[in-house]
Amino acid sequence: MGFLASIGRGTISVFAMIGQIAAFAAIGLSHCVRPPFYPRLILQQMIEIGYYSLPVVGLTAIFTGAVLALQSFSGFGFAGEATIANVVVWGITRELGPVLAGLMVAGRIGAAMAAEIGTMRVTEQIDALTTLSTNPYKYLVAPRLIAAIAMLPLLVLVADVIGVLGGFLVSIYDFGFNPTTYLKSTWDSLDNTGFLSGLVKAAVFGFLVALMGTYHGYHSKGGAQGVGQATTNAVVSASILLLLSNFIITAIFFAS
Amino acid sequence: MTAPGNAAKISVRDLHKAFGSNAVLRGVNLDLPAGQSLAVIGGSGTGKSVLIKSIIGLLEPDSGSILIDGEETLGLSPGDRERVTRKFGMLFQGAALFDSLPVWENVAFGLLQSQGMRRREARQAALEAMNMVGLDSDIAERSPAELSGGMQKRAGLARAIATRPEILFFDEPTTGLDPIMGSVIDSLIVKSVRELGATALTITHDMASARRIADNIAMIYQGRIVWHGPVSEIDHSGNDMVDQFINGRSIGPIQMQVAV
Repeated sequence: MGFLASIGRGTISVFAMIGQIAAFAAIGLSHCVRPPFYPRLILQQMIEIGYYSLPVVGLTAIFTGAVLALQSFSGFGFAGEATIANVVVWGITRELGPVLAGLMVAGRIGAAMAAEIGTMRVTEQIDALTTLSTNPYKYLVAPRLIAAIAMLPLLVLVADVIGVLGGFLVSIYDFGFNPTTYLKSTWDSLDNTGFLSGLVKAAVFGFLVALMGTYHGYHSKGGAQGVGQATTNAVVSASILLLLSNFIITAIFFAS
Repeated sequence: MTAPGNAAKISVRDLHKAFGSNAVLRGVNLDLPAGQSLAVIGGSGTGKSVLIKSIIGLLEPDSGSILIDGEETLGLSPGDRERVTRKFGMLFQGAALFDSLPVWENVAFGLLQSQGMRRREARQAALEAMNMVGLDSDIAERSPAELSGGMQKRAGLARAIATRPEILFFDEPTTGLDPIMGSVIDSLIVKSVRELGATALTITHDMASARRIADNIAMIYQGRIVWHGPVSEIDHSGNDMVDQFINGRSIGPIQMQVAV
């Protein structure tokens, strides 16, 4: 009986948390579309999420594109420009660009959001916002959600270009392919659905990373240890949700 | 538990709040007349913070009533709650200044966000509020982390009074300060409350501070107000719990939970 009871308690707590997160997301999103807005804060978050994530996303993308070309050539034994360009373009734009950029941003931005908002929670700064007639959802959550949803697709766009460039460089300088032929094959391999699915994924990943960062930060308690726990939870939960949603979006776009 | 005076600015009736099986407030009744300063004293874990957070609206009580200017504040819509909150100013125990903003913007926060004042005017008003609490305008651009504990408390007080609120709340205003700085903060609180003509509610376990700040004192123990009266009568309250608390005796009706 004790075992069954513990399963029951665990199930209830999982559903309770899902309900809490859904309610938090609904309130946060509702404040994204209702005035007053905080353009300065949104811009600040856009710079933090978009501009400062460029190096890490760019480095990840260029090496991933390069490795994809290398594996296609040496590992899978594909030989022609068209095949390798196709693998690199499809791999980067459909999956690796958005997923790796999302995971990098989850580690960098999700953790930072949880730590900052968590510290504000345990030092009563969020209570102070309320006493100053400022809604914490509107001031802290909404700008981060808006900025992440807007910036992740842009970051993924950059990751796509740099990732394809990584594959191009390896193909040209390592395999000795003709640059013009490779570029033409790259252009021909681009498909609207694949490219668009990558950008849609990016927007969803941005939302999930910001949601998990703000949710865990907002509900952190117990001082420094609680903030540390919130930071870990934000990164882990965002990463898992990101991979889960990646599967769902891929199924929606490509199931047929 | 009503002290003599004007109409109640804050009126608390039969307030209950529990966290799981831990009943923290067990029927608090309290009236605070307009323009008066009340200090709620009591040991750690007696419900002081939960009481003040319930009045401000940071916690939702389980039952009871909280009237501000005669208006019931429990169950208010977010818009109405915001309207009522505009009457408040609060100094937090750790000052709770926003790390991401310079000192002047912290002080001007309420003016900028809830009153929609222009930045230049808000900065001028913030400098005036800082001047009122003895903070030099040289520190206006500094980050809160660069200030000492006493200066942070002053900046927190300047932020609390900048919007010229009708009701001021002080959460353990002297905690973490040396006795001299504690006395300075108390003097600034008294000066600010008088100049604004505000009603003030302080929670503290510092008796010296309570005597300096308050007109009346209420003692909370095990989630209930056990004594309420003028400061001048606290030494002759006739209440054993009050006597034990203000004299800091370990023996008496108040039993401290001490783990061995």
